[in-house]
Amino acid sequence: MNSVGEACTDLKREYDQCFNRWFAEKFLKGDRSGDPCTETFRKYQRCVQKAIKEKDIPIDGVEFMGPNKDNST
Amino acid sequence: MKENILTYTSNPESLLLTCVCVCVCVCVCVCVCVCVCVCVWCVCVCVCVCVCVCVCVCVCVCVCVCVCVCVCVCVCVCVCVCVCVCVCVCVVSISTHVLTEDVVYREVTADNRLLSRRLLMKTNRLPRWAEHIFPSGISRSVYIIEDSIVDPVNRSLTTYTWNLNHTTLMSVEERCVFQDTVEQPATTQLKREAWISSSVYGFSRPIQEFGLARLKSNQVKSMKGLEYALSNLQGEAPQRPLRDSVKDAAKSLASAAAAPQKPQQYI
Repeated sequence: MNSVGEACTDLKREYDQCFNRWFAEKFLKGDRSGDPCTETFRKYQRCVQKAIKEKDIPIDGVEFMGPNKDNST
Repeated sequence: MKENILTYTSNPESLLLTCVCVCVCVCVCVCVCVCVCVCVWCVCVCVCVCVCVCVCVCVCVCVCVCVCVCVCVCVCVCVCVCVCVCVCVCVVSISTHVLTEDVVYREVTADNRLLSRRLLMKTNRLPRWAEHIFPSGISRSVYIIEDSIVDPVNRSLTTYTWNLNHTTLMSVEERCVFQDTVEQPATTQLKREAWISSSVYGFSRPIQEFGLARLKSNQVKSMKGLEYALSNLQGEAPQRPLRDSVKDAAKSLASAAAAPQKPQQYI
């Protein structure tokens, strides 16, 4: 799967690989030791946030799970 | 003395000649057909090449009259044998309509829940009737946000998705909650809810109905996609119970893999 920023796809893949390993081997097993992916995530985010601004994609301004709060279960 | 008299008699009528010809013709025809088949998880493009070999047996009866007029009657019997070779190329890409996927926010909370926000870009496939109504310049891609919470302690995965653009035309929000099934241990239940609205003047009701109908019909595909992803995971470790597979599905949700199990926004 590609990134919305064409130049970011490689950084994204590198981050995803790191995350998947951490998620399966640490997070799901309740291991709360440090996250080894912060640096790769930072590099990837720098690239992708720039691409999002360039493409004018309106991702800001909504709280996490924000719209959901209006909808009742 | 004897005389030898030779007598000639001539037939003043025309002479008729009859001939029978047998011709064998071999024709080779090449046909090319293209067929497109759509499978559940992949798009197959089939190219068929047909080779036809025709064997024709012709029986000709020619009647010639000596005043140089020929009448030929040919009867051909052709037997065609067609051999079709179909080559199917499966583009094994589960969600070809999902073009890009990016994580834009991620956090592990104090109570060890994983919060993520993803930005997805998908094709905007309008039905035929809508293509005529809406300008051809309308963007063919839809941006979607997916917020998710993975809670390994309570063993639940909650996702919430909504579209960022084309919201006047149709706004779709969907929430999925994956949890252990209380009544049936070792199984997972998925609860899906969707909210659809449209602000197109005069058409909001039919558009909402259309959206809802499409969501329901796409459910089948979505669930098959989820089953496919899970079977792949289970293929790796056949002894795994389904619960762990769902967690791994959660892992794949947050990863680079395409997300067929996610509630898709088919606008």
